[in-house]
Amino acid sequence: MKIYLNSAIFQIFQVLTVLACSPFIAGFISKLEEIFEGKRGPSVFQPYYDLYKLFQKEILIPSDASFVFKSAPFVSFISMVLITLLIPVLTAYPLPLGFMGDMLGGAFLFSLSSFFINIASLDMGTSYGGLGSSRATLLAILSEPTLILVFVGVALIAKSTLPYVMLHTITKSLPLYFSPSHFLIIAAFFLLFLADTDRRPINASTHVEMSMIEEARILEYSGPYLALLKWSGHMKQFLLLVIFLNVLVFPWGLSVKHSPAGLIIAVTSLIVKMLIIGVIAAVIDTAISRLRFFRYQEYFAAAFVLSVLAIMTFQYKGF
Amino acid sequence: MKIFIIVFLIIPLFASLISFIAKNKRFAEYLTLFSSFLNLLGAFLILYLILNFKTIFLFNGAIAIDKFSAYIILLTAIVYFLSSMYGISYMRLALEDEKMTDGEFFRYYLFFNLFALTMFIAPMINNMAVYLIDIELTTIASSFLVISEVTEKSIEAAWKYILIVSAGISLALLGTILFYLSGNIPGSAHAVSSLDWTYMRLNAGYLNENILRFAFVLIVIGLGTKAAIAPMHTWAPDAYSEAPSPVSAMLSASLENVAIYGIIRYFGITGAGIGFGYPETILIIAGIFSIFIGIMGIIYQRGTKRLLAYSSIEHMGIITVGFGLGGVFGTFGALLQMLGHTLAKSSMFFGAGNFLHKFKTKDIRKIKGVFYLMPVTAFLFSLGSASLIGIPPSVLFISEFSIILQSLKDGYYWITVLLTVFLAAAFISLLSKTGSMVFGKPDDNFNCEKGDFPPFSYVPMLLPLAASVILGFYIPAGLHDLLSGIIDIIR
Amino acid sequence: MLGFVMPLYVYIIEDLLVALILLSSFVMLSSRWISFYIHAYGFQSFLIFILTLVLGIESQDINLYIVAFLTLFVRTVIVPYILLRMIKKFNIKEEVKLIIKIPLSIISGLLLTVFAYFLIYRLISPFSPKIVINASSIALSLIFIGFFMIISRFTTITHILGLLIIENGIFLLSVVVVPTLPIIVELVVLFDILVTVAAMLILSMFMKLQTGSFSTTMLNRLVG
Repeated sequence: MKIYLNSAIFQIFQVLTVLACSPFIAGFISKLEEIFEGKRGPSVFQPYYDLYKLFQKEILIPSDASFVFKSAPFVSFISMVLITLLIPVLTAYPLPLGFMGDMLGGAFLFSLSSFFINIASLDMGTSYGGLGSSRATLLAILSEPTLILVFVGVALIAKSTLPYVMLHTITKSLPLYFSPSHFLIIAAFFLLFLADTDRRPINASTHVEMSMIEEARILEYSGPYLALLKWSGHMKQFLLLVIFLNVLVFPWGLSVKHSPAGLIIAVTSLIVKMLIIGVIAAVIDTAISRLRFFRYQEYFAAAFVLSVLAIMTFQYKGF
Repeated sequence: MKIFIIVFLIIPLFASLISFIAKNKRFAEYLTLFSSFLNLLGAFLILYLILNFKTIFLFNGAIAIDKFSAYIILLTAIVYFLSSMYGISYMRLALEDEKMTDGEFFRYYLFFNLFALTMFIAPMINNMAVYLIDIELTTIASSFLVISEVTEKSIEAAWKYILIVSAGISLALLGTILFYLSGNIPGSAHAVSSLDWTYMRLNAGYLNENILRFAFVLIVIGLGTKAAIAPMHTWAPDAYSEAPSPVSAMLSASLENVAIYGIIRYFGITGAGIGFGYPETILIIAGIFSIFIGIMGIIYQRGTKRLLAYSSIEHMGIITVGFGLGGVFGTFGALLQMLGHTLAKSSMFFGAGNFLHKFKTKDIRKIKGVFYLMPVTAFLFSLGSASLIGIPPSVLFISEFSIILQSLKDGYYWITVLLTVFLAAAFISLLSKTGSMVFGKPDDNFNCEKGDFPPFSYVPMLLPLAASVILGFYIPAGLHDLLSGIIDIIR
Repeated sequence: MLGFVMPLYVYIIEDLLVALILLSSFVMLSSRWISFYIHAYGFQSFLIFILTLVLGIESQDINLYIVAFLTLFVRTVIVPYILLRMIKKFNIKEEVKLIIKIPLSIISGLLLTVFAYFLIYRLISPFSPKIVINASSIALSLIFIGFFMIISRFTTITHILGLLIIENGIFLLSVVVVPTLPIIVELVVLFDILVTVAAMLILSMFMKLQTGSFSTTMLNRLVG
């Protein structure tokens, strides 16, 4: 009974961490980018202020919108919350609800949220919506095979599709950590991460140039709906980073036992890892420019090749 | 003995350097002629020595000359001699027509002798890897010869030549490495750790089978590129057409022989290793495909030298099929075909060169009525084409006949039918094209002087044709023994 | 690699090097600028050099050391240097003309790699440890990718580079699969490279003099 209580507390804490920290990371990255460009940039907590402000505003809905428009923010937000239950955010062992789905289930939930936002943007009735959703669908088509192959690679290494097992396999045997297939998977996933979170070279979303994908899709939303969508966007980025860091790159620092100390260590180590990756992401974002639309296929072909090579080199490694 | 071989090799080297350094044209021409004559004598001498001894090993096994090598050296020496004789006439005419500058003239003689030198070295070498280096050197030397007249087309031809052949040689190198691997698998009982042909032939039973199959295919593809076996033949029509005629004769007649020599060496090792069935099949397939492509080319061809190039491809295909059929008649026929092809093809290329100088064109449709303008050359050219197709009395008739005989003997009736059909097609098309050139009325607007060129232009055509006709009647016992000896070596 | 028992980190290093070599060939497939190609080739040769060195340490064979350093000089330093100087001297345009566009080239390269793995597995697997299969498949895929590059690009420099990649692949294969190969074969490969590059450069010179450009689109002149 005690164990279950502890696990439940950990589970709730996991969700709260994700909810609370995701805007912080987003704000941190955008501030870093502004600093790299030589400006002072908004405060790190700006996203919190934005969310708070948005929750106060009134809701405006286009007259032709249907239930899809009203339900999309909720679907997106809730699926993000569901994903946090599945992946190792704070703990190195699966929490009670963590067996609901493996990595493929997580991918499904990501696609679910993206899909609903797509049809909601079509529902808006403006041309921007069509533009945004068509581009988003194209990106999804190009990136889904690679994502599946990355999961296949992970499954080959870890012999299971649960992220926790992968974590254990990587930490237990160092040669596996340093094998080329592991590094290739990291590279492929990083490329997908850049694509999915609307960073360059896929998407440029400065306030001067309105992006064609993300912001176009949620153009008509206002008030709390917009707040939910923005929050789920922050959470998507956070969760992708969590998968990237805690499963693939640096799975250490997660708590192994049910203790408050372990919890605090887990949270702080997570924040620290996030900040480091945030720096790297900001550097990349400012250093390279956006690819032309028709050159997206090269980018995704590269990611695809990396993941296939990871699988191939795994088959015949020397140990 | 050592000194003799060294001198034999130094003669062309000496000739090439001296003719380049001493910028005297007459001197270069006659020095080359003289050196090739010496080489011819030397080749006969080597042959005589080989017939009396078994195999000559020199320099600690680095050089191994047996009957097969001596035969190839002889063939190369024959072409070298004839080409240098014809080259005198060709180059003089080219200088007169101002198609060549003086610098190019000397560059031609420099690389001509070097090319001959590299082709002499190749059959002597015992080591597989050094053989490939030498083949690469022949490519380089001959590519400079192809661009003797620097035009756009010749550069393009030379570029294709180097690119395709180097890619092919790298494949052959891969095949060689795999050959070595097949003898050196870790954990096997007996390691065959040498790249010498003779050594590998002796220990062929210890080689791994699967790797040997794959390696042999690679060798056929790689060296087949050099020998212009389809489908790797694509460089040949361009290179033969753009190179000066004496060089085309050397390329077609002796370089391809050297490449086939390499393939057959590997063929011997593979056959000793896994039985002759599999390599024979591969050779037959490659050969028949080459004959087919050659025939197609002959039928649709418009340029004189390209026509002869496709005829070369066809003959190489016949040689390959002959080796692939195996048995006494097949191998005998193939070897004799090499000799006949050398004689007849060089003579034809010289004739085509004469046509080029007289008519200033390579287009078959524009060359008409040679008989009225250049009677001696026309006569020799038509005799040559008859000999090339295999009309008796010609040595090619005997060789093709014996190859067909072998296919009948082995029961491969479909090969017999195919060969007959193909040879008949070649007969018809080649004869029609050369006939259209030789006979007919010359164009009236075509004003060029009547009469042949000086004797150096047709004597090189006369000599090999005479030899071919004589051999068509009677094969001397020495030649017969030599060829039988080679059959024993291969089998 | 064949038959030697080594500490684990050596295997890890070899694996990583081989994977990087494969990646560098894909980088070459996906680049549009000729100087990038040449730098990637130099980088690949450097990786091969390090791999040969590691193998030499592993087997204590003096031949491998010699060959490794020869590789360093010829492939990593001299050949890229010559090529880069040629580009500057003749003002060759930097952009590569492609027949097959980049994404399709990358996917074709991938298919060729998978094919190479399959082929090597059939040939060598009965008697080789797995790491040799990995390395030799990558070497064979280098050869295939080299051929593919010759087919799918238009410029003379990329033709030369395609041949060089083939030679790299052959060298890697020979070093990995048969380390006891007589040194003569390695010398053949190096010699091949030098001579081929020299001859092709001279031909390019002539080509430039005649036609004024290095594009090989004019290679369609002689047909039939």
